[in-house]
Amino acid sequence: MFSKFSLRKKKHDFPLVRVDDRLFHGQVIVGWAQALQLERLILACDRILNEPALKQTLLSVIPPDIEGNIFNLETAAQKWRKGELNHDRTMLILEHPVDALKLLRFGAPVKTLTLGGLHFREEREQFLPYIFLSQWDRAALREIAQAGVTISCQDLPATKPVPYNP
Amino acid sequence: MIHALIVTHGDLGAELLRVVESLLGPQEAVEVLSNKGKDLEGLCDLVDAHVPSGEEAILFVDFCGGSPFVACRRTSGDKRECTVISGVNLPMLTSFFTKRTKMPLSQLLQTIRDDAVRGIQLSSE
Repeated sequence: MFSKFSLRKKKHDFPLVRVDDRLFHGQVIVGWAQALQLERLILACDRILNEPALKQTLLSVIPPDIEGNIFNLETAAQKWRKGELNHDRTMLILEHPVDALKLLRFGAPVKTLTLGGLHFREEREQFLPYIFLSQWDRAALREIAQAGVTISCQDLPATKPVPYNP
Repeated sequence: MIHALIVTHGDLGAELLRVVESLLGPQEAVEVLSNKGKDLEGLCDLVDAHVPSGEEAILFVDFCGGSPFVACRRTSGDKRECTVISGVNLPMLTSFFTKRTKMPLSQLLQTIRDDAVRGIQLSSE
């Protein structure tokens, strides 16, 4: 079993970039944030910014010792380029692969991308028990990989990452 | 009658209701939803579709911070007659089902929270 210490020793590039269509939720705020002692959780998502009630609720679930932010994709990419996201233990969440591609196109220097949770929808097919992909998801991931980003799947810190080769 | 919607991770809600009904007998005006296999948007739509419109309702969720909590809070933000309570446990539900016809919603909410907390005891105290 991983101890907190061994996980902390493991090398991670910050910010960690995670695709998860439950956004801020149990696996993130308990599973990852506690194991890796995250200090900042950022959701980069244009959709949520049009839903003020949902935005407020999502920010309200961030534990008090963690800074939580919700930015639009362009702002998140700008902040990352300026070096504002990589100097603390930060996880950046994206709702789906198309948003990850948009973030990359806005100039974010993404090197690795983790698919953490993409749930069933009519247009999606199962890839792993916690990853379902549509043709649009796959097309976006192909383009992201072509830009030199390493993509893997991992739902929780203690589970083994599965490489994704589009 | 005040409605109950129990929204949890996995089968927790269904099992809680099953045990409650084994203690109190069958209950009406109660529904159970799970986040199993759902993204946040899908769960929000599901909760929206199951909250009775125009009726008083309590949305029970398992913990503050999970997707059931987020989805229910989003719905309750739009509907004044429903309230979300987190940390659902057996004492909270038995309290709710035995007292929901005996007091107004605001008083019921305080009562079921107190009963839920009172159900947590240390053997060393």
